[in-house]
Amino acid sequence: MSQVWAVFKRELKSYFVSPLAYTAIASFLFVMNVLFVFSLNAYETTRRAAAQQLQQVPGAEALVRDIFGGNVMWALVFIVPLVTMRLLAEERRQHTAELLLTAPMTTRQLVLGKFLGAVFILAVMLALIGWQPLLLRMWGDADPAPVWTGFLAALLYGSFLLSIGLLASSLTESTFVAAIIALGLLALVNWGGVAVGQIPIIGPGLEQFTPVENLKALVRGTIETRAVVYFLTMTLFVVDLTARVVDSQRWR
Amino acid sequence: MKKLAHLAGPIGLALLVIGSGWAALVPASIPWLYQSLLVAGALLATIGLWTHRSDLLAPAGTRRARQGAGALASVAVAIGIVLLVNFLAARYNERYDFTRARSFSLHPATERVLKALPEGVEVVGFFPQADRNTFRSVRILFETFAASQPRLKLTVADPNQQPDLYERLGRPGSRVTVVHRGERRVVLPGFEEGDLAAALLEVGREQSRVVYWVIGHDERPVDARGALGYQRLQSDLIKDYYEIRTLSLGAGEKVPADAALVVIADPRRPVPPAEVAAYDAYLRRGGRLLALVDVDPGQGETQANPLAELLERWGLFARRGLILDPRERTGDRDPRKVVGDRFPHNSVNALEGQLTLFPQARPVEFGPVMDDQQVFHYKLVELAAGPPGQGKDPFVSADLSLALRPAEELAGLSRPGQPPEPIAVAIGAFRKFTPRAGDTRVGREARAALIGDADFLNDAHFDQVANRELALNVVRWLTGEELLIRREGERRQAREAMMVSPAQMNLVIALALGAPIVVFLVGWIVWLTRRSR
Repeated sequence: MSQVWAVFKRELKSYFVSPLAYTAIASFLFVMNVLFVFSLNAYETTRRAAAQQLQQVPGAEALVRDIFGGNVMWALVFIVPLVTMRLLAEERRQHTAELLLTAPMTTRQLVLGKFLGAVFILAVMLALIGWQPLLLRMWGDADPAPVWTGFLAALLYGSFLLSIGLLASSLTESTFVAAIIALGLLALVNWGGVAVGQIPIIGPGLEQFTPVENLKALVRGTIETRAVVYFLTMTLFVVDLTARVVDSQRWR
Repeated sequence: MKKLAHLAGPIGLALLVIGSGWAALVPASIPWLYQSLLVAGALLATIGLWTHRSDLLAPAGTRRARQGAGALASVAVAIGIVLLVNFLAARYNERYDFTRARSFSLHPATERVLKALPEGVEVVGFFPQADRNTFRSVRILFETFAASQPRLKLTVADPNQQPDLYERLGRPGSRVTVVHRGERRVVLPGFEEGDLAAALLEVGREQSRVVYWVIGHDERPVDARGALGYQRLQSDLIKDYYEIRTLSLGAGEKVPADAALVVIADPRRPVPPAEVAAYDAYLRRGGRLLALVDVDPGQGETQANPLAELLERWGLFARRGLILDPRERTGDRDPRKVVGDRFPHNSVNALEGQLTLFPQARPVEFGPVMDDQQVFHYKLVELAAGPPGQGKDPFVSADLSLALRPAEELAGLSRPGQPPEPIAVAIGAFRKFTPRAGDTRVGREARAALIGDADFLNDAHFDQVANRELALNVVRWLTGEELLIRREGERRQAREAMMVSPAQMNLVIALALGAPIVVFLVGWIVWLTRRSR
C-alpha cells in the first residue's frame, strides 16, 4: 500500500505544479456552470408558465438530477481525456516507464497509484461544483437525497471513465493520441450504451449494463446495489487491464 | 479446391455472425433458415481452422506466444468474473430510496395488495420499444413490483417484437397492461401504479361488485356532468372495477342481494317510510350505505335532510352549523368572506389571511342511536388528508348566527394559543351483524358513511384538495376493499417549486463565470512561479 501511496503523492504533485490540472478543472467548472445557468433559466421559464395555469412544477431536486445525471455525464467525456492523457503515455515518451517498472513495486501498484491520483482530481472538480446543489438546497429546499447520491454517482461514473482514459494512455506514447483514443472510447461507452437500448428484444435487458443507465439509477436519490457493483467491478477490471497492458511491454 | 478450403473459414465466420444476429433479433421469423446458417457456418469454420492448422500452431511454442496466451486467458477469466458478478447483482438488486417523498418506492397501499396477492398472477405490459422513456419507466416500475412480491411474474414487451405473446393474450392493443390469473383477465391503459394494484386485486375476485345509485327522490344523477353530476366519480369507480346501476325501490321491495354498496346522493324529496325501512333492513343484513346530504338551514327539519331518520338510527347526524377555517389562509379580515366554489385550493394555501367561512359544508357527527340500544364500535379510519402543512385539524364548526355577527367579534376565534376543535366533514359508522340461522353472510358488519356536503364529490369539486381521495377511499372502506385505500398522506409530498429572482440569477451567473476564472488564474500563477525559478 505504501508504494501505491508514494505513486499517488507523486502524481498529485506533478498535477498541481503543472498548469494542466488547473486548466482541466477550470474547463470542467466552466462547462458545468454554463450548463447550470441554462438549466436554471429553463426551469424558471417552465415554472412561470406552469404557475399561470396552476399546474404542478417539479421541485428543485429535478435540477439536482440534471446536474449529476446530464451535465456531469457529458462534461466528463471531454474533461477525462485531459486528465488522463499524460498519465502513462508521458512516462513512455520520456522513457521513465522503464525506471518505474524496475522500481520495487508491482505494475498494478503503479497503475493504481496513478488512477487514484486522477480520482482525487475528479473529487476536487466535483467538490468545486458543490455550490450548485447547495444553492438549490438553500433557495428551493431541494431534497438532499439526490444531492449526495448524485455526488456518489458522479464519483463512481467519473472513476470508471478515468480508468478508460488511463487504459488509453497505456496504449501509446503520444499524449495527444492518448487523448483522442480516450475521447473515442468514452464516446463509444456513452453513445454505445444509449444505442444498446434500441436493439430489439434484448436491448432493454442489456441496457442495465451500460454506464449511463447505472448513472441514472443513482442520481435519482436512490442507491441501487447493481449500479454500485457495476461501476466498482468495471473500474477495477479496466484498471487491471491497464496494468496488464503496461506489463505486456516487458515481453512484447 | 485448395482456394475454396482457404475461403471456408471467413465464409463460415460470416454465416455464424448472420445466423446469430438473426436468432437474436427475429427468432420467430423463418427459424429453419437461421438454424441452417448456424450449422453451415460452424461446419465451414471448422474446415477453415483445419486447413490453417499449421499456421495456427506455428508460433505456439515461442515465449511471446505463451505470455500472450496466458495474458489473454487471464483477461478472459476476469471478463467472466465481471459478467457473472454483474449478472448476479442485477438479479438480486436492492434499491434504497432516500428521497423525501419516497418517489421510487411503492405506495404502502400497493405493498399491502402485493402482500395479499394470490398465486398465479401474471402482468404483461405492451409498449413500443421505440418510446424508450416509457419503456424504461414501465420496466423500472415492474422491477419494483417484482422486488416487493417475487411470486408476481411481470413482463414488458413490444407487441411487434413478441407477436406470440401478444396473440396469446388476445391482441389487447399497444400501451396497455394486461393482468391475468387463469381465465380472469384485466386490460388497463398505461401503467399507473394505483391502477395496477386495483387490477391485481380484481383478477383475484370471484364476483363483480355492484354499486346501486338510488333515484326517485330528485337525487343527484350519477351519470350527469358538471356541478350537479358525479360522472368523474362514476368513471373512477369503474376504473376500480365497480359496476354502477341505478336503484328505484317500489313498495315492499328489498335492496338487491348483489349490492356491494347503496349510494343516496342528496335527495330533495322525502324518502317514504317503507323505503327507509328497506334501507335499514339492508344495513341490518350487513349492508353498506353512502349518504351525501346538503342540509339546507332555510328549510324545515324534514326537508333539510330527508335521510335524517335513516341516518340517525345509525347514530349519524348532519348538523346545521357552519365550517370555519381559523388559520386565516384566504387573506381577508372578514370571516364572512366566502371561499368560492371555484377557488383553486393551491391559491388558498399560498395566501396568509383570515378566518374563512365555508357556507355550504355542514359538520357531521356521531350521536346516540334512536331505536335500539346496541353498542356501536367506534374507530378512526383515516381515509383522506388535506394538502401538507395544514395539520390534522384545520377547520372548526360554528353556529350559523356567526355569519351575522360583526367581524371584530369573530377575530377572537383565531386567537393564538386556542387550538381549533377538529371537525369531521365525513363520518362512518359500522356495527357487527348479529347472525340469524341460515344466513350466509355471518359476521358481515354493516357500514354506513355520511358526507356533510354532496358537492364535495361532484364533478366541479372532485379534483380539489383531497376530495377524490375521500370519495374513492370512502367507497373502498364501505365495500370492504381496505387494501385499496390509498392516502397520499401516507407518503410525504414533494416540496413546492423553487422561485429564482433576477438578483439570485445574477449571483449564479457571477459564480458561474468567476469560479473557473479564479482556478485558471491560480494555475497560471503556479506555472509562472515555476518558470521563473
